[in-house]
Order: sequence, then structure tokens, then C-alpha cells
Amino acid sequence: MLQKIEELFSNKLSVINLGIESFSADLQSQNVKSIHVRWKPPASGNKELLNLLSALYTDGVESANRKVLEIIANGHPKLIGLGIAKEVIPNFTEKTILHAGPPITWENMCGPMRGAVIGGLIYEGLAKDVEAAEKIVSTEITFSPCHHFHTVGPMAGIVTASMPVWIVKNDAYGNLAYATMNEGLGKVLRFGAYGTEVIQRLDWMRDELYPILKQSLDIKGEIDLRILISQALQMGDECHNRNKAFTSLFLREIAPAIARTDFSNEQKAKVLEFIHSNDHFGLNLSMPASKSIMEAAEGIENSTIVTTMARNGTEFGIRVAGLKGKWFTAKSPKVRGLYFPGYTENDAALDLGDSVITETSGIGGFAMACAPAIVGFVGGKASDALDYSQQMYQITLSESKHFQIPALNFRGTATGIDIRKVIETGILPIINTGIAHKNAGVGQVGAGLVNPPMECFEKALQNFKK
Amino acid sequence: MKHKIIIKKNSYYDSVSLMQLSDKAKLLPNVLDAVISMGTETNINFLKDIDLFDGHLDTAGPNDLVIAIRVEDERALESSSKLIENLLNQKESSEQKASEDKPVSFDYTLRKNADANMVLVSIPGEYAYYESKKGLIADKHVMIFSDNVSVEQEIQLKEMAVSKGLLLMGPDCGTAIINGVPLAFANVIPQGQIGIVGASGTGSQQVSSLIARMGSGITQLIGTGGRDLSEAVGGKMMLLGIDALNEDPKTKVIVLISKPPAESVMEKVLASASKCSKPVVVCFLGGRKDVIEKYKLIAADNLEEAALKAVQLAPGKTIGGYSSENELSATGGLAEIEKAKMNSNQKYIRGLYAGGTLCDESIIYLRQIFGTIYSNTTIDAGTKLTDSRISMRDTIIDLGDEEFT
Repeated sequence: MLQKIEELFSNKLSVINLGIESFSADLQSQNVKSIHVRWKPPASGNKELLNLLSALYTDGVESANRKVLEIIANGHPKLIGLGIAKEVIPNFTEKTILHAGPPITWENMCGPMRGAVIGGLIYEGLAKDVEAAEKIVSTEITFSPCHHFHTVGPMAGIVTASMPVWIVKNDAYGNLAYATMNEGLGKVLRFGAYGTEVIQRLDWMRDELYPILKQSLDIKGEIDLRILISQALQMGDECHNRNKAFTSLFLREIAPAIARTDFSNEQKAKVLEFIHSNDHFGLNLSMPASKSIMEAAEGIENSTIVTTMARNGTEFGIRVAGLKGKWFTAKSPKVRGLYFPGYTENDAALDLGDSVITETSGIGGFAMACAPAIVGFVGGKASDALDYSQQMYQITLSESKHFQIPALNFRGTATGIDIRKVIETGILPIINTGIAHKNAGVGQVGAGLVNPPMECFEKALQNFKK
Repeated sequence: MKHKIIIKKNSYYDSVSLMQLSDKAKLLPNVLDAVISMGTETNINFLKDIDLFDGHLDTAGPNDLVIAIRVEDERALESSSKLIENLLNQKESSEQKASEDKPVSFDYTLRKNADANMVLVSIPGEYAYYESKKGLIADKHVMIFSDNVSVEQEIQLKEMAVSKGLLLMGPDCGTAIINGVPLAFANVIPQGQIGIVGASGTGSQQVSSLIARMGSGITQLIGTGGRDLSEAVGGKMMLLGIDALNEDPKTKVIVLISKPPAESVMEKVLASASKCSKPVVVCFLGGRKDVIEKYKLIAADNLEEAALKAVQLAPGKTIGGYSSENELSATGGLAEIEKAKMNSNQKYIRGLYAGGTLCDESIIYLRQIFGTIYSNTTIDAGTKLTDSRISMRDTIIDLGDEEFT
């Protein structure tokens, strides 16, 4: 019972000082270790939030969070195969269409998402053209967030029944996650384009890319994505907005197996060229890898750690481990970024896509310090990137064992976003992201930084009360 | 006369450095009055009181810096506000340099410093509960220097601390000495054999200083905060402190110091002290000696006597050069000098104290000679001033009381 006091009396005093700084200086002048915290009123002094927060500082919440951190730390994503969405994703029907972000109706969808839905219907042969597509969307189609189907999709995130999907398994817990294959940049479905070239590319991906890669994976066997991400982070990727190293590493893994498939040399060469020409090919693997890690932590009662962040271009939504199945949403923010020549902020759609699952699991913006090559998007200086990644330690509860930042002496990335810390410090998660054109089909117009709305976290906090 | 309000959004400074800044600003040429403070409700009301106010002050929140100045004329307004901003920026730039080793989040600091064993809290009282609780959850001992923490919050924190076997010193605990290290406003006292549990900061300071002057020293000085021995709080920390010092092999004598405790709590504390294997000196100012002696404990009437008895009981120690007679004649001399300055119309006692226990001690002593002594302390409900700013006959005021801080 008195053990902790005995320990105090028999050890050196070591103080954390909150408040009057001179108390700390007095201690230091006596050679007593004292750390002064630059404290400021938590939650900007909002009494209601403080009361809610205070009720969430309990041993129960701490132990639930420790459990979630352990699940995240154990998470071990491996690429185990490819399949057709309706055949491998549970409960997927012919008329299911998955989209990015929290739930949304056709009426409320943003331009790029509507375009991608139309493209998806044309691709599936459910509609001939825009007019036909718009007729059936509200009557025949069941929309659902990718996240409700163990799936993640970048930008519009549209997944339809006959699209091929990667199958990623979290080896520690056995849960599976899915994502489509990345189509490249420019006029592509995920930015809402649905012209002939888009549909033709999707057809080729299903008819040639998919069978060749599927057979290659059968030959190669499973690929450890956790190791690939760890290595890519040390080669200048942050695995959200830069996937050049990841894509190259993946190509090294798979290329010999591609060569051994029984397709023609020309077909195989086209596959290699396609992957080589698309620096973001790896994004659609880092995303389901992150998803498989985070989904294993869902439903741990009392935990205040964020398991999902996602946007549908209209709303930003988060989900929290201890509040299973509930979305906490607010209006999707604007991205602060750099625009490609010819485009301005006025062309930008609001924040969009499931790719923020990478930040949720501790990479992406949280590993920005790994990726000096793209600091142009975040202010231009490498020190800005370091600052962003370092700031995230203030709102997370642990540091990754697997994902490390060379520039910070191989410190693990900030992992396990705690809604309490976000509200307390006022520091929001930092997200690296692409910017879509607000009109369907134009494509990417820039890239930059965005934060989720604080409202999402406040709503989640308020929900804990119930 | 002109005035101007400048609001800087989201710039937090601690109130102590802002008070220093305000002082500097008031000394600037042409400035009649200046207040630099955070935009808390209290501060904004204060600004309204002194008529340094305009409409957009209502947009300020507790994380916003408010600069309010009053000057002679329009011209002075411009130059003065510039000078004040310079003062602020000096502060800012020096802080920025050090920002790397100054963590901004308490939780983060807790996580990165597993070896820390004490959290010292001196932030505004309304936040003290919140942060202290986090300290306890992280298994740290906590000292709360802050006042303005509610009794309910104090009870919750202390219940939590006791269940975890942690010290929760305070709230409103100004003094503690742990392992020879003075915390907050404490003196450097030689290490020795006497352990103190004090519900009174000034009382504990006085006794520990006297122990040092008597050539002895202390092991630990555990502060409990002034309300610990109230009916509501029930002496939770004093009881834990007694147990801790009883178990501590270096402590040979225990001293308990408090203003008059609640009756029921006193019995509980004394009963617990009587189970100690070491001599316990009890100084409950104004408390009944017979109750203390009933529990076979050593009663002391005043702080000096508590120190003397403790030092005498500590093995192998004799009182050094200290004697009450010498002290008295030195003070007596001072009193004679002051007395000579007074005129015949001055007939009542006026006392201003910066410490509740010293104030109480004087009242207890003086009322034996002069009868009723009025005060703002609660030592005796019948003699409490209705307004601390208006004296009645013989009056002694404690300026350390919460109403003044």
C-alpha cells in the first residue's frame, strides 16, 4: 500500500512542473531534475469539453487504449492475393457501389464522386451513358462506404462488382482488407472521369493486368507489406502522397514472378510498364495495409483511439475504437496546397478519399519527415516536414515499432490518435493529400495539407457520455 | 484620455509573466494605465470594472492575449502600443529559442519521462483538478500549489490518491520538502530525523525553519493543503502522511501541524497517530490539549513549542544556540521602538499577516490578553469580520486568504 511513497522517499526526486516556471528553475538550481511544461488551458478553456474529457481520464480508458495500441503494434499486413470484388468481398452484390468516406446519398455527392459512380455503372454495363446512369442510381443501386466492406478507396473510392481488388490479410488477427488497383494519374475514375479511355483502361486492368498479377502472386506467394512500408519510409516515401519507393520495391518483388507467368512477353511488358509509369501504384497497397491494421482495433470498448478517418468530398468522418460503427462527421474542409499550372483554389473539390487511413495508422503526414522530396506541398522546407511529423507525437499515444523516421534518429512514427489529446491540445492530425477538381473527370489539380474538422472529435467525445 | 484594446488570438502566456509585463508597461512614458492579461472571464470583468473596455473585448477567450492601455492622447496611443508589443516580442523570441526542450503537452511529458515521480501543479485552479488527475492516473505523486479547487474535486483526487498509495499534497499547498528538496515556496532545511505532516503551509515553514535554527533537521515535510482536516475531506492526506512517516526508517519523530481541525476528524487523526511506533508531537492551534493527551501524544501549544519538543525527542540531538528568552528579548526590543512612534489615540490592535496559521496563532495568543479579536479567518465564527476591508476594534487580517489571492 505504501510502496509508492517508499519508492519516492528512497529515490531521487524528479519533477514535472505545470504552471509557475520559477518553481522549475529553483529545482534545477539544486540539481533536481525538473521538466517545465509549456502548459496552456486544455480545450481552449472550454468548460463543457473539459468536463467530458475529465470523465475520460480513468484507468478503464487507459487500459482499453493500451489494448488498442498493442493491436496496432501487432498488426502485420500481408498481400495474399487478388480477386473480383463481388466474389471476394463479403455481402457484395451486383448492384453494390462502394464510395470513399462516411455514408452519403447520391443527391449529396460531390462532382468527382458522381462522375466516378457514372463511370462505374458504364463499366459494369448497367448503363450506356450519363443519362441512363442517373436514372438508376437512386432506384437500383445500393451505396455504401468502402469502410463498411473492409475496403478503402482513394479519392472517390468507387468500387463496383466486377472490379479486381487486392486482398490484404492482417496476419496477427486474420482480418482481411481490400482495395482496387491504382489506375494512374490524369483522367481516371477515382477523380470522376468516365470517358471512353477511362473505361477502356479499367477493362484492360480487369482483362490483362488482373490475371497476370493474380498468377504472379500465386507464383510468388504472399508479400509482407509491413516490411515494404518500413523500407519505403527509409527511401523517401511517406506512403500517402509519395509512393515512388514503395512502388519500386513492390515491382522488385513481383517482377520475376510476372516473367514466369504464361502470358505473352508483350502482355507482361505492358504490365511492368504500367506499374513503372505510375508512382502511386503502391498507394492502393499501403491503404489496405493500414486498413487491416486499424480494423483489428475496432470495438475495443472505452478506447478513445481513432480507427478511421475518411472523406467523401462532402463530409469528413472519423470513427473511434470504443464507439463501434458510429461515424462522427462535419463538413469536408478545403485543402491548403499547391496547384498544378492552370488551376487555382477555385477549381478544387473539398477534401476527398479514404487515403487518410494511412495517417490514421501512423504513416502519411505523420511520416512526412521521411519524405523531403515532397516538402514543396507543405511549405518548402525540410524542417517544416520535421515539424509536422514531430507535432503529431502530442496527439498520439505511442510510437510505431515498425515505421521509423531516419531524420529523427529512427524514431517510430506517431501512432494511435487519441481524441482526448486532439481536443485538449487543439492540435489536429496532419494529412497529406491530393486535390481533385470539383468537376467530374478533370482529375488531380494539386496536392497539399489538410486537417480534419475539430467538430468530428468533439462529437465523438460527446458521444462517450452516453 | 484615450484607451485602446488589442487582442492577439491564441497566444497563451502564463499569468505571472504577464503581471510582470503589465508592470513594465505602466512605467512607459505617457501611459496612465495598462493591463496585459489573458482574456479570461475574470480578467475581462476586471477590465470592465476599471473602464478599460470596448465592444470587441467580448470576442476574447482564455487563450487570447488582451492588451489594454489608457493614455493621455491619440498620439501617445500609437507609440505606447508599439512599445508594449516590443516588450511582448522580447519575451516571445527568447521563448522560441528554447521551444525545443520545452514540451507543450503534459501528457506527452508524462509519457516521455517515466522516471518522474512528482508533478508540481501551479496552474489556475479551475484546471488543477483536471491535470492533477492525469498525474495520479500515471502513478505520479502530485503537489497542487493552486488554490480555487473545489472541495468535491479535492475529495475525489484524494480518494484516488489514497487508493493508489500516492501523495496528493494540496490543493493550496504552498510548502513541501521531499527528500531534502524544497518544493514551491519552501526553505532549504538540513536533513535530519523529524518528519512533518502539515495542513498549514506557513505553520510548516515556521516549524521546519525553527528546527533548522535549533540545529536539527527534517526527513520529509508533507503538505496536505489547508482543508484536509475539514469534516468533508476527513484528513485523508494527513492519515496517509502519518502512515508513510511511521514506515519511513529515517524518520524518528513525527510532527503534525494544523489549524483547528474538525472535531470528528481530529479524533480520527489522533487515533491513527497513537498507533505510531515513534513519538508524535501534535500542534493543532486552538485545539484541546486534553484530547491530544488522551491519545498519549505530545501536545504543543504553538509552533515554537512544537519545534522545540520535536528536536528534544530526536535521538542524539540537543538544542543548539536557540533559546526562547533570547528570541523574546530581541523581538521585545523591536516592539519598544515601534511603540515609541505611536500616539495616544491609537488604541486598537491592527495586524496584517501573510499566512493563515501565523495569523491564527497570534489571535489565539492575543485573545487571552485582550479578549475578542476580529479577523477574516474562520478560527472562531463569532469574531469573523463581515467585510474584510473594514476593521472592527482589534482586528487581525490574513492577506494570504483566498479572497485576496
